[in-house]
Amino acid sequence: MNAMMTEKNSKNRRTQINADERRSSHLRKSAFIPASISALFRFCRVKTPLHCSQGIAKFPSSARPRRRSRARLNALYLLTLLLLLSTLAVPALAQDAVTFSAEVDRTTLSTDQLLTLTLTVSGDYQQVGDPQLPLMSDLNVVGSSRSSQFSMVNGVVSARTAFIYRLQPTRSGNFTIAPATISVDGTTYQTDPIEIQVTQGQAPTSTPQEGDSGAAPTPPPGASGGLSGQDLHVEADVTDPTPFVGQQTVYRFRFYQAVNLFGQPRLEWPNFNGFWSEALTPNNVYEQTAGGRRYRVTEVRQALFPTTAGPVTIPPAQLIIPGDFFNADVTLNTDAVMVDVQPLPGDAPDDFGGAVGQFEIEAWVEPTETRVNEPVTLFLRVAGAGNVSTLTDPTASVEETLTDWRVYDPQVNIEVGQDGEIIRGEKLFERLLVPTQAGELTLPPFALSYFDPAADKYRRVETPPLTVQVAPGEDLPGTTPGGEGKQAIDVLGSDIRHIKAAPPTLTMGRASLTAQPLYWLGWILPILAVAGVWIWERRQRRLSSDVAYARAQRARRLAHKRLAQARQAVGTDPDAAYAAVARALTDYLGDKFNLPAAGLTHDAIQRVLAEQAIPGDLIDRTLNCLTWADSGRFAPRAAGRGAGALVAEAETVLTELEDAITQEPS
Amino acid sequence: MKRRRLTAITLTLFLLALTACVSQAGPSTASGAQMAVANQRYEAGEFVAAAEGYQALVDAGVRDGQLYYNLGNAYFKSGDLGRAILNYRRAQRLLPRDGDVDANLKLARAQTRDRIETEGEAALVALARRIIHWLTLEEAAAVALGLWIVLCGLVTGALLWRKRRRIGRYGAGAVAGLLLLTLLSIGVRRWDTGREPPAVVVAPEVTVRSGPGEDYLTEFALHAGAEVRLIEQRGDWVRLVLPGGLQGWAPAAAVPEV
Repeated sequence: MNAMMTEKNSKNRRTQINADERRSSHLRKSAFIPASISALFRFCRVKTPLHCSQGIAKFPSSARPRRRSRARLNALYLLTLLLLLSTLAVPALAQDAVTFSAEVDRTTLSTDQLLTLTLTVSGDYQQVGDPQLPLMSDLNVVGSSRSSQFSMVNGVVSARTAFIYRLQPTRSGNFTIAPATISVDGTTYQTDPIEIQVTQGQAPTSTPQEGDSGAAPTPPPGASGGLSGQDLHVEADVTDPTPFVGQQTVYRFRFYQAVNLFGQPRLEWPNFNGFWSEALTPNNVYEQTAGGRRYRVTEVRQALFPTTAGPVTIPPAQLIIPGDFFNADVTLNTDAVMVDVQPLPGDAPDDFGGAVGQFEIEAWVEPTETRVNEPVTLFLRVAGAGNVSTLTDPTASVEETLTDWRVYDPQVNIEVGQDGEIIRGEKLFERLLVPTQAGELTLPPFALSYFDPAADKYRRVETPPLTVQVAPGEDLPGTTPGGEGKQAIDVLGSDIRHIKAAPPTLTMGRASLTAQPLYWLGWILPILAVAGVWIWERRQRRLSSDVAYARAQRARRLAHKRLAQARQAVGTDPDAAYAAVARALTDYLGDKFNLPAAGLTHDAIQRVLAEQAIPGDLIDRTLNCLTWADSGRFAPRAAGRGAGALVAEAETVLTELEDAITQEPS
Repeated sequence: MKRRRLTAITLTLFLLALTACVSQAGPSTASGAQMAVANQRYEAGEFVAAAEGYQALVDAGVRDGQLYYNLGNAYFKSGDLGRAILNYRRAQRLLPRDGDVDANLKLARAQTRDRIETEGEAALVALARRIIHWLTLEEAAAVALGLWIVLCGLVTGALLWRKRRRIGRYGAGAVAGLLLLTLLSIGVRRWDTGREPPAVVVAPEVTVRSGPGEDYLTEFALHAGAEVRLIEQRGDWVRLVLPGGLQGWAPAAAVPEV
């Protein structure tokens, strides 16, 4: 089986069915293990994003450390998977039994007819031999053929081989076709016996008469007198030589051959002017005896639908049989065929559009509930026997009556098939309808009138009316309920909205806003501002709540202010200058160390400064400054040195003190 | 007095930040004259020529919603439903609040051949989607920055004027909530389009195969205008997925990204 499969595949690998088979056969070849491994891989794989190059590049490195534990897990999965698959596969294989059956196309026949015996092997098998037919003295095997067929559904193979035998009875009577046997994959199968009954035919075929007189009393049906023992013969006719306009008739071309041909004969169809033609398949092939010879008959057919009334002549058809090395081409011509097309009766209904045959009509809407301005689709299907290709749209006439709808042009699907010799088909009209009104809208019935040639009269079929529930949609001018005397706006057509006018400038494709550094600066600046304000605010709050901190913070500024005042007063009012210097220094020290300035004696200053580990000479200079200021104030002349020098000295002392105090980790 | 100076400084800082982002938003532009020429072709009924004119501008790097809309119209009128829908969707991205784009996109979608089963979407989800897509990504980024600046301003105000702190706190809370929503919507959209970018079938019919190559089994066919999402690209082939979950590979040129 697999061997056959692969052989078949190598022939035409391109076709789709074979691709399917190839995949399935791959699965069937006990290739469970690789298949399940790849399935596991797929199962474990991380879903990669679209730009997968990154994802794939990263995956192995991150997966490696966990690989060992995962491998154990994979083995477990594999085992369970194998178990599962084996339990599934075994009954499936066992189930596919092979059947071998025999059937005949008829159980009663006459001696001038042929019997077709078909032996069928079906099931899942690999090798099939030739069947052994029972010995049959009463039936001659006049031909045999063999056909094979494979199908594959969900991985299950079913094959079918049919052996077809053409049997000719040699005499009349009741016979039994004994069981046939066949060997399939080494096993022998047997059919059931079949009973047949053979009656005496009009022409004894068991002993073909010499001479052509025997053919005359029993001309084969449809065969013209022309068939009288030639090697090759052609003829043509129509099934109904007097059809109505639009009624189907079948043009049949038959080729009789009593000899084998080298080349493939080529048929030149006549010109079917005045008809709409449709090929009928398959060709009929049968055997017939006439004039004492057995002919192989090939019948090729065309369905014809007359388009105009009156007599029409179909010109002869031509069959060209290519010659071989020794013989020239042979051309065989049929006779012309006369067809008298009858006009349709005059009492046609108003809406008759030329449909001839038997038709059914069906209409439906999808969906049946919608909203204003949301489209629904109206389906109208006409199906039946006749020429559906030329049917007119039954919904075309009601287009104007659908005032509550915007109606779009239909989309038409035609499917044509055949039922024996009768052309059948269906035509599906799909229309997009957009409701413009809310409420329960009714679509009127759609009707089709046709002429039924079998009953010889006109008929009319109609669909029931359809209703569609339309809920109010978004407000449109046409749907707003107007007051009395106001009329809703009729929307006559619908189209896409018009293009926009060209603006003076067009936006260029630029890098996204978020790709600009300034954009992110916009995010950072405010948070910096908030941080700054917060720090400042915290300091303010401490200044107002912590007296010592506040005094220490303002001490230097205050002292410098006093010294500036002192410098101004040096020339004009030395007393004030001395006082200012003294105050500047004592207040500074008081503020810095949060002490009452009034009680600051020289001793206290010395002690405090010493505690702060201020160098001794600086303490001396500070005290010296204070003494100087006091003596200047109370005994100006005794001071000796000028107030200007004191201010300068006080300034340096203050700066040094400031440095010394702030350096201290207090 | 000192407080006044500080207020002035912070105010200038905020103004600086605002002007920075506003000047950033000022886009580089191209002249609309070429588009006007194509518009004239469209109005003369030469839709194919109009489409070529618009497409030339797009190829030159113009990313303008109105241009995409007109291009979609030109393709629609010349019968190319797939490219019409593709360009309407591109236009919708740049003009999310434009009714014309929505209307034409809806009409074009109604004419596509494939009925794609979409999962039933809850009304709440649909509403959320509409809200999220109410702004373009660029607009949302600008709004987020604006809200951030306002939020920082409110926090500063609350720090400086302690008596009105209560008002400042409520205001800041509201603005912070809005900012969070905006950032969330940006995040959701980036994640959504980055993970499975949407795409539209532009070929009249494209066969979707089981793998990236012509030799793989044909699984199904899609027609012009079918809207899908891409989940993988390999060479000239993309792996697409339909809303119902159907998957397969198709040539990348037949299914361009929106």
